[in-house]
Amino acid sequence: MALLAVDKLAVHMPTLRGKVPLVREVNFSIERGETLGIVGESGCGKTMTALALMGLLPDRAIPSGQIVFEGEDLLAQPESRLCQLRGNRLAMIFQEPMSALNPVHTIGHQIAESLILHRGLSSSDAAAEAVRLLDLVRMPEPRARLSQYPHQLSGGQRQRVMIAIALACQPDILIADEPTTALDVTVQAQILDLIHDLVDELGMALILISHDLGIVGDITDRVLVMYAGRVVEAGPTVELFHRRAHPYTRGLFGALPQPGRTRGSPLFAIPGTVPDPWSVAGGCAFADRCLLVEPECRAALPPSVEVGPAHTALCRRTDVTT
Amino acid sequence: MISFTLRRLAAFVATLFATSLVVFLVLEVLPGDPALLMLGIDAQPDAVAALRTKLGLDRPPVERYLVWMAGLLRGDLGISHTYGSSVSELIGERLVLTLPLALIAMALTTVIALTLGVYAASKHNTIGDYGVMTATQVGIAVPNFWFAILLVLLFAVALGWLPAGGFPGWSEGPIALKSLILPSFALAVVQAAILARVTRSAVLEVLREDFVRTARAKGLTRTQTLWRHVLRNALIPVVTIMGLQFSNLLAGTIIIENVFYLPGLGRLIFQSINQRDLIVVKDVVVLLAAKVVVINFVVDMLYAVIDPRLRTAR
Amino acid sequence: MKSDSFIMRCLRQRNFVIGLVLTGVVIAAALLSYVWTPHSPTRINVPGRLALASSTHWFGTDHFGRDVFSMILVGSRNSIMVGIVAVTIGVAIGVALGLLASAKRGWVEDLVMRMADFTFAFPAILSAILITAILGPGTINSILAIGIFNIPVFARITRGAANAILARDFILAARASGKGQIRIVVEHVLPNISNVLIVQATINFALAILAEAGLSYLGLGTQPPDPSWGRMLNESQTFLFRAPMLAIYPGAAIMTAVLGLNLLGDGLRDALDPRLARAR
Repeated sequence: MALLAVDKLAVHMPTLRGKVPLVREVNFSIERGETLGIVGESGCGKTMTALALMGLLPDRAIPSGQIVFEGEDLLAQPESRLCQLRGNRLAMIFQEPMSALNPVHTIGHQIAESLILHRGLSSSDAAAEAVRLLDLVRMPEPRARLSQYPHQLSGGQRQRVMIAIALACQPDILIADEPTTALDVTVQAQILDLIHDLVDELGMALILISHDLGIVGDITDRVLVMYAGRVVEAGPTVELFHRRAHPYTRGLFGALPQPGRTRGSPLFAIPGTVPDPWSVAGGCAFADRCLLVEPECRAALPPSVEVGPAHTALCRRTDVTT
Repeated sequence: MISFTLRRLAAFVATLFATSLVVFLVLEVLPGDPALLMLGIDAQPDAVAALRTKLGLDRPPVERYLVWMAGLLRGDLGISHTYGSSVSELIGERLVLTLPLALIAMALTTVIALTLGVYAASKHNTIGDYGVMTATQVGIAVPNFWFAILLVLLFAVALGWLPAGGFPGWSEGPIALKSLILPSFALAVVQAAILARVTRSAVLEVLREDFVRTARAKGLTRTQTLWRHVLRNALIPVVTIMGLQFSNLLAGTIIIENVFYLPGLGRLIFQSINQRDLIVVKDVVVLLAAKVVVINFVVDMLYAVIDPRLRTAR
Repeated sequence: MKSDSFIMRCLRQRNFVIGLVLTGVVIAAALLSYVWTPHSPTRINVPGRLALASSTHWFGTDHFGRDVFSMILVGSRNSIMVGIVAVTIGVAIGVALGLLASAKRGWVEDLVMRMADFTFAFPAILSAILITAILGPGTINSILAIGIFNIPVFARITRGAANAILARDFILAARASGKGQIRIVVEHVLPNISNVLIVQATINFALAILAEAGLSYLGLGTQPPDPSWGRMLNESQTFLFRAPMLAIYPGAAIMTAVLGLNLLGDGLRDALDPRLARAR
């Protein structure tokens, strides 16, 4: 049985203009120890998907579908059960380490909080464990950090603390939402390596969300490509990056500046812009920007086509792309 | 941290001196002839002259100021013109009533306001929130002396549970507290309305911060997040307003003590001003100003306690 | 049409509408009192004292037999006038000082701000009592006393807002085109800070009415025989057991005026600048 199975997950938000779909349909599953990447532009619904998994959607956002974690449907659980699971079996780290820590509590206190809450440690045991965790995330001078405050640490160091907090109770799944985007380039690689090594060491499943194809290509086993609230392509990373069955995936890669291209030649950009969530009619959401579009594409949602082993794409034109 | 404290102390002392100077100028130099002011325009010139000599008003202002300051620092505040007794004694007697009154009122304000404010913020945009907002809107508009009278109407006239005024003195024991209940409520309610709103908006601001999301991701319930993470961060604006309110509380007692016929400091100030007893007025005003400066100082120190980021700043 | 949409925006704010209605009632009462009152508010009629509400005396009579309803009507004149004049003093002098501080910067700004801070250190009621005591009680002196502590409020706000505006680029452009200080201030700064000032003036109007009531309660405000809500409250206290309603009417009148103005100010603030609307 898969560790986590997401079935027909959708999230919508009621507004004055009607129901806005933030996530239209997402299906995937993840096994123990597997690393899954989710890529897409801002607004495609990847963060909302992650928040839905944790049960941390904004109050007005309403999820539907099933999220089955070790046999339990998380969407059907009461808040108290979710509180038991969060920070314990399911952990998440976010994009802005600069503001993700409480400025008035010490680092030690913030790490120990999870330990005391979920594992029932005493404060002294929790403090000792916190030092061990800081060491694990390769923080220099771990013992000194316990009594320091977040404003005394750099961005990279704060993200290490966030990772330490997330790993404190050895979760089964770690969700990392753009963990390195807000960091300096030099620090990005370190943090990424750290996450990768820890996930291996501790045998956790990792869901890595990013708009950066390079990062995702580096450390994930499987990838989901999302567009306008749907998964448009899913498959093993190496496969997918090589084949690029969906025109959008193709576009994403085409947009990467290639070393060796002649200077002065125009950069490729996918024409058009990401559609408003409520302006997408039936049919393929990418239709207006797709170079391979046909009338049928707009009429109805494209079928999910298997283009390789465990590799699918939501497109009618895969005969051309593959 | 030490230099922060020392700098604050220095500023505090400087402000106190400036305040005393201004008070002296306004009350002794500006009116022209304080003796005339005290006795009234129709007074006999001889009486005025006699008073002037008695009070040392024929000395140059600078000398008078220094003598007064020296006296203040020694604790000798002079003799009241109307009461005949030492001003420090007078103030002492009255403070025994007004200080507990102010403290009880402040405690009530804090409890009511923080509870309502946090509740309203946690129930944002629901009936509970709207209810609190409406109640506080009305609370702000109610004159506190009218509210006091309404309280008397209900609890003293209609129900007869509490006295309508007067104070039997602490020698009667804890029963004397009954006389302070209605006055402290009257003082507390309007302030609580304002503070509740401030608390609510401060908490709502903090709820938007990223670290709140982190706390929830750790598995803390909404309530735990509110009390352990949000509240302390919301305290800075709340404490600021509380400081202001405590400073103004003593002024509030001027009216409330009149409503309830309480022989407190507020009543003393009011009667002294009415009777032109400038000696008492001068001293009390300086003391009040000093109290404001002290409170500001304490609030500044509290900021550093609440928010570690402020400890190393400037 | 800008003025149309502004009025529409205001009317869409529930606070504004309720505030407008309440304030309107009070203003209407004041205006009405100039033309007609059921009885003379000053006519003493001792045999008919402390009467309950009836068809002749809609709110009953006070301890001198005066008609309470008429007193409330005429009293509204007093509260409103004190409020308006006091706030006008505060705005006129405060804004001027604030603009001066902002335009001149340097020691002028420091001086003005120190003075403002200093005035804030003294509780407003205390200052008002002191001033009326030294100058003597009465309507004019209470206007002065209340007006004086409005000045630093407006000076502070004006200085802050003006500083923000003067730092913007279009001011540089104006200066570069040779416009003088005064012209810049009048043409550019004032229109941009008027929103903030209007909202603050409304709120301070409410506070002024409260302050006037407080001073009158203590006997330092409007003197007899002119009716004043605060003084009516004071006089009603002696008769709490015999005629409790006497304490209700003037207090309710004060509350109506203050609540109306507060809501009006809140509504204006939300309509004029949605960015100012804090978490609602």
